[in-house]
Amino acid sequence: MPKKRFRRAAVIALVPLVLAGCWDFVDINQKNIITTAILDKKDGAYMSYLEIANTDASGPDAKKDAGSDEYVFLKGNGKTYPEMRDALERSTDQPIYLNAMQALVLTENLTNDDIAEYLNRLRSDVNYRKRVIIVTTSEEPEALFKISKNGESIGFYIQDMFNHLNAQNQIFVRETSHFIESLSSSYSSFLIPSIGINDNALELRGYSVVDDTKTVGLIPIQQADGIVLLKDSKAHFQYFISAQETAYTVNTHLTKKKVTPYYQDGQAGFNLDFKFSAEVAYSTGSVDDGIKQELRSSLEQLLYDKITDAVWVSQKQYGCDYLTLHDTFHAIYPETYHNLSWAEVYPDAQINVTVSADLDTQPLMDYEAYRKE
Amino acid sequence: MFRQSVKCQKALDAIKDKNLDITQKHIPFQGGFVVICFVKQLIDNALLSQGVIKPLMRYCSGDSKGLNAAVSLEKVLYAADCKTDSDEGKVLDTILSGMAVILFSSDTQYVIVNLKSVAHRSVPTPEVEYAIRAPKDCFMENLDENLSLLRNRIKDKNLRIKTFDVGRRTKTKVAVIYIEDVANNTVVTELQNRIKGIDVDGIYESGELQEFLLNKKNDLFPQMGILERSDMAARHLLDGRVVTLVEGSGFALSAPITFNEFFYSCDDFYGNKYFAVFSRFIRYASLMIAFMSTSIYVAVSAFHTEVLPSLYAILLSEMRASVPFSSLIGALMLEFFMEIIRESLLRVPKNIGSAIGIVAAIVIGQAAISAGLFSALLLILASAGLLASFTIVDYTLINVFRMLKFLLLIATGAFGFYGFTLFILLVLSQLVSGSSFGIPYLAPYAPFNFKDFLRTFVDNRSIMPHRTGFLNNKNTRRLK
Repeated sequence: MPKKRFRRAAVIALVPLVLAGCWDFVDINQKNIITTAILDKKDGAYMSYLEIANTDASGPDAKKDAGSDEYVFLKGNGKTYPEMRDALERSTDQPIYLNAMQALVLTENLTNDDIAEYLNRLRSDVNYRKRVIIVTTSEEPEALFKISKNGESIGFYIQDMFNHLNAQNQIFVRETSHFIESLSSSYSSFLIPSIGINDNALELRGYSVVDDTKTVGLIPIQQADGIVLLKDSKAHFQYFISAQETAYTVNTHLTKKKVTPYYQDGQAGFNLDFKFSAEVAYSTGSVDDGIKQELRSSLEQLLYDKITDAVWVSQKQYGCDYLTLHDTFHAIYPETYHNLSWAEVYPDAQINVTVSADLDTQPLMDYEAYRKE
Repeated sequence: MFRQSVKCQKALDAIKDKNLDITQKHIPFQGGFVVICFVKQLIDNALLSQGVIKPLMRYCSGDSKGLNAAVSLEKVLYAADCKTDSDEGKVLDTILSGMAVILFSSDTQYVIVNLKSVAHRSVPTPEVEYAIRAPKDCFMENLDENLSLLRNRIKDKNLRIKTFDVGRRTKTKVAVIYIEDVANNTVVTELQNRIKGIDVDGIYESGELQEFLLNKKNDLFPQMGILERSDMAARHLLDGRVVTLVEGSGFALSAPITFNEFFYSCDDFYGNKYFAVFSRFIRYASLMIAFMSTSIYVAVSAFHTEVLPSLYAILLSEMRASVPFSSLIGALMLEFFMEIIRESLLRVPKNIGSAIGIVAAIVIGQAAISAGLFSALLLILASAGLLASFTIVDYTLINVFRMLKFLLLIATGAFGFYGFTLFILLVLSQLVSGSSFGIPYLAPYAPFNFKDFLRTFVDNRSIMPHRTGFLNNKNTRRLK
């Protein structure tokens, strides 16, 4: 009898589940796969440009034969983000699929006004790919779509470019989830990579500085080494250093970085300790101990200058902690941090930088080796 | 007239009345006669003539006064396997089972001579448990030949063979074989009791017998392993299992069996032990591929597309662009189509089987994609699943998963990974709650025992001196 009851209960439990819409699946080919989104703001209206993978043909090869584009574009606008989204949905034949998005490009027109609302919108949308790369640009959206080569996706173009630079440890990239997390904290400042067009190709122009909810400036890529050294744990650069009238090319790797916050006499401060390993890659001359010592001093000075410059720009030029030193301070002095206004404290914080580098000259040819024997 | 025994007369009357096509050979002697009864189709007629009829006639022609069962057994018959009996009720059954029965007019006892000879093929090569490096002999339909193969491999005095007649009409011989000082007594007794409890008109094959030996009649998973090879049967005996042979069947049954046993192949024991472990991993993975691949496809392409890498999401969408059916319907259709191919390949003659396989796999497969019936990825997954299913040696296990695969597909098609997980949990709960003759079906994984886990995964006598503990054998040590 209990067995019979159990069966009945199981049937009663399962049937509504089936009938109530668990068959709500949508096959992947019945969705518009968005690979890139560009958001702009003009005349008080939000404008969205979507790049959609064209999967209507029977396959990639067949599509190329037919001469159709691999990606099609969709445009929608509205006075608010919901209106803009509604306009996009109305103009598509299938639901929008955001999980394959590679890059979200925000124009400076938009970021100079506010980016928090859209990032919060992105956070609340479970269908949004949280690993999407966010970049800013001063270019026109149509211009960006026009530079995609051979009908390739601009989103994949940006993604590949960042993957390549990131693998070389010459830039730092933060995913969307990082920005969302930053916006949800009491103090918010961060950097977003900025791209532009140069000679009909994309390039990384620098980093847009976000203070609170909008961008306040741009740090050009040529001045961004110090930022990368401060933000990336495996930064790697190649420098050109002269010693005794000879030029040396030195590969420099950040090996250790220690950020120690302190709070004394109502003053917040940091000790930043950097250790590098470097090697002379090539040169037109030989290296003796004197030259080696000189090279090392020059390198340490160069690195010190880059880091202190980056700190100075952050503290004095922009007056915002996009270097996220407050995270470390918060972790060590949580109560003090809550009682402080970091926006006021940070510009005057004492930041001490020490740099040391081990220089290896072994990779160079030793033309005097036979004499040593 | 001689003093004819009442029993002898009754038996002869019974044989005559029932028109059983039983041959009777009367040989008179001084003061009586003997009657040799046999079924000529079941008897080695040459041996009967040489070993029974000829010596009896010679003896009867001389001073044969007082010839009876005991005398004929001791002085007359030239037969290796003969005995006396006095139960008149058994006479007819004994003759029908292929024995020659010699009735004496002056004796209440009779002689049974085993001259049974049934047409059988020579020792065949394995067709189900195919192996690269292993003995080629395997069981066939003749019980005596099968027993001889086993006895030849295990010459232990503790090897026990107990025979039973199963089937009221067929009287099929069933032999229960085990090594007395190794096998678990509870299992032996339980198996024998279950066999004794079978009351059916007939049994023809070990598969039929297996159905009667289940714990519960609706058990889904096989509770006895099938063995085609005599070397594997011998190995199971040494492991402490009980092997059951059925007259007329080329497959032995092994009990108790656990889930992991289905992933063993005889190659594992004769080749490199590390490769054996690797092969076992492959078989486990194959089971999962065969069972789950198309369901995961449905879940990923229709419910949880976010797990797909972006490029592949686009590619999959392109592949499915011209397919008119949903992922679920397409997967169900293709799996059904694959099962048809599989079933047809089992039935067609071997000579044309491979050709049909190629036609089905390549021509129809390619044509189906071109016709927009299925996506290429789905075809790849279904084909991989079909191939993977063949890696499991004991087909009785994979057959269950072949059926469950369709239910898993429907559950996944209805609820996505939620339904997929629910159904897998249901199957796992069925496996965990099952047992084979009192031994947990998922041992040594559940209940988990690390030592047994190692012993089952690296099942090699050279480095694993003990038998698995979960079988509760009397003797657990195999390497001294």
